[in-house]
Amino acid sequence: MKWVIAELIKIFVCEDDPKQLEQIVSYVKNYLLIENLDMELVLATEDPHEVLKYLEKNKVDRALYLLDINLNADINGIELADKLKERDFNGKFVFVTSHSEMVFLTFKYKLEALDYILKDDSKGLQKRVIEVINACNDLFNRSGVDNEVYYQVKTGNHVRSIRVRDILFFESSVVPHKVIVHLLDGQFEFYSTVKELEFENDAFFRCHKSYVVNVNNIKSIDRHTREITMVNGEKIISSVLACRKLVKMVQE
Amino acid sequence: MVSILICQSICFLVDIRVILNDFKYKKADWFILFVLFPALLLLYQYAQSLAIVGYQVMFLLYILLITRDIKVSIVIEAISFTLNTIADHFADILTRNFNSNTFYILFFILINCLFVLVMYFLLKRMRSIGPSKKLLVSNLETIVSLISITIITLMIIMTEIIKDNPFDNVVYNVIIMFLIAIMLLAASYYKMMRLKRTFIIRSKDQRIKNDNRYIYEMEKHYAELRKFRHDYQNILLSMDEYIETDDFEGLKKYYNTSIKPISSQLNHQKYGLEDLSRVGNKELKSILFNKLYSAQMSGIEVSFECKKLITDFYVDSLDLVIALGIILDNAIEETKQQTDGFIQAGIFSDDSEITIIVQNSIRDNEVPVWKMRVKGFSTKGNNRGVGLSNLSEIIDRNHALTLETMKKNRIFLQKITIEMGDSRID
Repeated sequence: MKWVIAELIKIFVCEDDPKQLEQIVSYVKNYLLIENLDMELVLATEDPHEVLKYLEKNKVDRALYLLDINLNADINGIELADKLKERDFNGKFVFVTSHSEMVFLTFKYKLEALDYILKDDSKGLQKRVIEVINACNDLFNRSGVDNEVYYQVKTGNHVRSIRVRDILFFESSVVPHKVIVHLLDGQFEFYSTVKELEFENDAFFRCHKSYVVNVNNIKSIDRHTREITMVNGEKIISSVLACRKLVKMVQE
Repeated sequence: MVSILICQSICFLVDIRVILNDFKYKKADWFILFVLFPALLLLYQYAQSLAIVGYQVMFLLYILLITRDIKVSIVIEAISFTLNTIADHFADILTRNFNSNTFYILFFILINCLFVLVMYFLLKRMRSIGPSKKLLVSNLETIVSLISITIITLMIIMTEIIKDNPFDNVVYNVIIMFLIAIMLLAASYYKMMRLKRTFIIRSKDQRIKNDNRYIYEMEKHYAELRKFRHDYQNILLSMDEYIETDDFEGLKKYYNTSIKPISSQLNHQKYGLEDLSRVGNKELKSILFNKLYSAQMSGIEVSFECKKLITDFYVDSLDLVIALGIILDNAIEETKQQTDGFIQAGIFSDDSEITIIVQNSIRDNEVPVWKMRVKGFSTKGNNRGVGLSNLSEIIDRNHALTLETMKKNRIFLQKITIEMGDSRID
């Protein structure tokens, strides 16, 4: 039998200014040396295509990418990240950017970046590099022991994972084939039907023609009015038959 | 005869609900059961003419109970009554030879259903082109409706009931009623069209105004850039001087006193709205610029991101503009109350969808998202939160649109996703 040792987390740095590249690399190297983390710096380059080439030739399991936005090449850091994401879905991205190139929403919602580092603030640069290395390390090590249950929603080409314990209930929209999922901190719509959702998780229960409720997030049930109150105070209605079943389920 | 009366009343009820486009149970429905039916039966025992007048007064009361608006009620009453009477006359003419109530009821329901269907689709079309979903009724329309009701009622009483329903009169009357109905329809269609036109003209005016302001801002921006270029050249020249003379100390001092402040100044003067040039849809660009710029002017930190040129937004621009307007207005209203509020907006696209995100900082409050979306909710008192429920309506009438609302870590986020591909069918 062979022992499987978790591979080191690979760090990539891509920055077109040699001076700044050198600076970042030295911060990374020094920190790794001191802290002895399960990480290694595998590539530091001025050319974005080298990063892509590396990924073509080698299998990358867990990686942290520190990317500059303006790369002085045919692609910029955002496009590079887009391409890298296709090959390395789990990769964590951190953008090194000047204030004027800052695109906050793109980082957060389109690229799902881990963080960004403002390079205008040259004094805080080292501190920030260390912070993102730690954050990335925590994230990868935590995901190993994460036994949180997720429900995956497909929207367009994207798959979105939501924690089951954040889900309150699903509601069918007035428009056919659209479902609204109500979460602890908000709600969003996607294309599906409540009929299909019922069987996606044991905690989901079809309590009404147009509702599937997460049994674990019910605060109370009024048996006379058949009103279900969720943990956040939101109320939905239940059918007669389902209400009886639900009361039993919750009591167990 | 009682069955006919009840059948007519129920059809009348259906007509009213279709026109109101509201099929939910209402407390006012008890009125029909406990007041309207008994009263009608009683009046009918007394005299048919009285029953007809009573029939209308009762239903007018019923509509009034639902809408709480006398003008709207009169117009709806007129439309339903005209339809109802025409259906009644047609059914009467067609089944007179059989002399059977069952046949009459059958035909009456059939004809009424036909009218209701036509009505339903016509209204649906009107609602979809109309800028506002509320029924707006002018005084003139109310008067015309009142006159039509009176004429039709008098016609029925004078030429039918008093003369014991001669066949010829029934035929004449249905023709006259038909003409009245067509006249009313034509008038309301014309009004609808005119409303639509004024709405389009008004939004075009607004757009031109916004475009002009956009151009003006661009020019101002450009002038500042030119000035900056000038300063930049000067800086380079003076640096050249320090280097030529190997005055490193002087250069250091010059950098710290003259160049560094400019750099930090540049960061603060981030314009934030340059990416608007990549929004290829004029209406959308206009609303985004209009709202975000006014937010910027009132001291809110604003940014807008769009890295790819997007020209086709796949859904009705007008709907998208209204939806965005509501979202941005809410964001501005909230951030205005804060000392260092910010609004971040962005549009992203890939092969399958376009995403429009607006997020803003919020003050500390414990109100959950679902409460904010309830009609009429607002942290600022009554009747100001109509926006969010209007927003849901717009999203619901476009199959390709989905909406996300999140509130997390003192940030409020609204995201509209446009699914590409299957949208133009609506």
